[in-house]
Amino acid sequence: MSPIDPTGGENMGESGGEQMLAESIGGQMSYEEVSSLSNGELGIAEPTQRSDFAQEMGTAPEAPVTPKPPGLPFPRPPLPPLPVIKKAVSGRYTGALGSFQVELRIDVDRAGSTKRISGDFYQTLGRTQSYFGSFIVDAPVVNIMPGEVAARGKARFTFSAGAPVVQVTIPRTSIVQPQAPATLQFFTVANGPGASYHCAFESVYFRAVRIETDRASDVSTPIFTAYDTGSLPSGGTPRKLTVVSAYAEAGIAMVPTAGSDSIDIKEAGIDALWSNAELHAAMEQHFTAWKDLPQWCVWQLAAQNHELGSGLYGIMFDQQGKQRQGCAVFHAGIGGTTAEKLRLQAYTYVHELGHCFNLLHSWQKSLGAPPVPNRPDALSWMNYPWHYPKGGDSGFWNAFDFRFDNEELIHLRHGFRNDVIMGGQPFATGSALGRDVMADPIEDESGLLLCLSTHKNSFALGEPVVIEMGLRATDTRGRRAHSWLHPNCGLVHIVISKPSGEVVAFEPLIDHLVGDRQTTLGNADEIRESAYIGFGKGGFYFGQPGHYRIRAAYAALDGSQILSDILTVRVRYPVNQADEELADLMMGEEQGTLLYLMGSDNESLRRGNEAFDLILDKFGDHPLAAYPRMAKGINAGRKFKTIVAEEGKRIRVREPNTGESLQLLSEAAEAGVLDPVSTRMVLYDLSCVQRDAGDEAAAKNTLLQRAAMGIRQV
Amino acid sequence: MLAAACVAASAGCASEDAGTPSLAAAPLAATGHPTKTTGTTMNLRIKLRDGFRDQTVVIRWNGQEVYRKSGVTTDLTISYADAVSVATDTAPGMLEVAVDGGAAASARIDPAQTPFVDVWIADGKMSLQASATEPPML
Repeated sequence: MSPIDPTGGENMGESGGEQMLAESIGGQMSYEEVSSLSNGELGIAEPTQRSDFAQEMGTAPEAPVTPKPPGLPFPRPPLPPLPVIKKAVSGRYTGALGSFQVELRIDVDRAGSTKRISGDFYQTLGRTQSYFGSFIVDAPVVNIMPGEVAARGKARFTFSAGAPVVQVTIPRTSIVQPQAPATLQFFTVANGPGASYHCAFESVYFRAVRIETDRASDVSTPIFTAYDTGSLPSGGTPRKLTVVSAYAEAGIAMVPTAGSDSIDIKEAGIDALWSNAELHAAMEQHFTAWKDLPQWCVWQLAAQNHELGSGLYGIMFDQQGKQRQGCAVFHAGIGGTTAEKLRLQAYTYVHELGHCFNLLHSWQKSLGAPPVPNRPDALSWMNYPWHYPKGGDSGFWNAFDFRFDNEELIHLRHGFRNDVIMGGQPFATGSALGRDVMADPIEDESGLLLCLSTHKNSFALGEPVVIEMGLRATDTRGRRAHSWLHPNCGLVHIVISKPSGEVVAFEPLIDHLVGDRQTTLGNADEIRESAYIGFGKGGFYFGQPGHYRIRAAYAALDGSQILSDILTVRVRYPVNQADEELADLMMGEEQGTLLYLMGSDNESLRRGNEAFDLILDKFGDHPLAAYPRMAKGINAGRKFKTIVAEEGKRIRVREPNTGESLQLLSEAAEAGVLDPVSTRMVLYDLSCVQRDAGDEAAAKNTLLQRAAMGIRQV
Repeated sequence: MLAAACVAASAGCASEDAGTPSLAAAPLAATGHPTKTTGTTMNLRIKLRDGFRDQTVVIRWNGQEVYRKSGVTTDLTISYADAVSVATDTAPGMLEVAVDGGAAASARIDPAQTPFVDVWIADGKMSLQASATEPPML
């Protein structure tokens, strides 16, 4: 199994495929066997018309009754065998293979099914578990047979999958038997076998969300509990609806949690009107399950009034940080006990939670990313009755069946995980364009913490972006760790999200093969390293103004992937002509290489050196001049060997230019522009040049100055 | 990002830009119907709803500019960008709303009958929807 492809499509020869299949448990059918079978359903009772999900714990469909034969003196005809009632197989299943775990959703044979298969992958490395990616099969070929359900189709993935064809086979069991496990198999487009997962049945619901409902202390009308849809004209089957049952009909298990708070209205300020900021603060304070992480948990506050007035019935206020974790409804507009008010409450409570699932209003679907056609005439929880084009309020309510429309059901049940989960993608951002390499881990028991920082919040355009990394132990017993933090060594990876949204991996210009270098980190210990990540194999990574997000991943000795926090840095726009000219002089390919290499005599980088000379000559007082000084000063202070085959000697050695190095390094250190770790490096090099020049006292002073910077390193 | 809302229900709310007449501070009644002030002055409540994306919006009532703001952006969760309350007499008048470099619309409005006007932009086209009662948001 490839560690980067849970479908197992990479390097999957025949032997590898058979091994994969042998690892799975239970039978599977080949594509040819599936295709050759006919749809032979013999008197099998179909699920009831209303969604089965709402009746999970209720009665199963009744078996047809064999009529009693009349009492005649004729031989009794043989009684037909009672048909065996088979369960539907749709629901949620889970499986694992290697380092990957899969949550599989099969939605093919219950009433109201969307005829889709989808899944989410997770990966455990060492003691960390992270979300890996998702897939969906939009149009599977489904064969429902007496003994088995089989479905197959090509999937869409949030990552590059080597085996994109999905096949699912599930044995059908009777209603008195436990649900059988599903076999999930992947195939390449050439029908070569990929990974195979044995997936145990979990639930008839496709997703489960914990919901906590709190109320503000000034709410004067009852909190919504249930609405009888038959109490007013409507478009569907009369039934008693709660928030839980409304989502159950959509295939989502909303699990109320304990801990319903009454929140003091004082938290809304002296005016007793909630602002979005106050609502968010209340959520962080009172939502028992709140974390700054994506999770299947949601908070709903029943409040009295918002600062926008009684015309605001509800709001999904959580549009900061990890969004969509909470919403509020306002009883000033919807409170009461009449049938109309109860209907309005049902609608508002469900509607706002729909936004937490990342659903837009019916008429604004084209405003999402990616855009899809608007559906202004949808009979959906997410439409406005008064906005309904076919008769407004009354037209809507007369036809509405209190459900989501089909596209919304597909999103709720099968949307890519981060597009749906609370705290995942921001509101209205729907489709993952690639694997979410910025994702927080779900679990981290590694005992290590990776910190990422810069010495300043913003950089001038063209200014080298230098990050500092620090590795510490969170385990009080200490942790064994390697100390190769620099990305050159290949054991720490840097991911950069650019202002355009493009996410790239920093690739160092030169890869370094390193040996074993381990240490034990105690509580007070830290491994620190700084790295210039402005230029690498991908060119300049910070070549445009704007906000960048950076994350580092450290590969620990036990395989855990330790992720740093996401660091945001801003690259400023040039403000004058000098800034523009400096940016151009700093951002040539050769200049980037020189900064990466800390200077060079190489003739191929001559123009870069000339640009640095021009910076020192024309912009010598500018803070950015410290960087060319650093690169040229370090280079001048060392011997430089050049291979010159034309001359009699094969190698020409340029001796250190001590005087030039001393001046440049002193000026670079004194400028106060460089990051602390680079400054320490410059001071160390300066002390070496001073010692080589015979000035022991100066070298000693420089080392004392370096030590006084107070960075304790392992 | 939801622009700072100049909400009619807040007393003393004034337009952001210098030179723009300050807006009436008369609060709306809880029913959503405007309260008439002395004489024949009332409030025309104009809400900017869907379709605004960090744009400059100008509103004129009877030819007089009553609102100008840049950076107007719809909060998609409640389909609301901003609101302005215009003190006016009860006579019908001409309402014009325009996005700088974008959609525009105008309509004759009778404040006494339909004191609430919602401005929607869909598929690049702006529509002004006048109503007797305040359309809800959620």
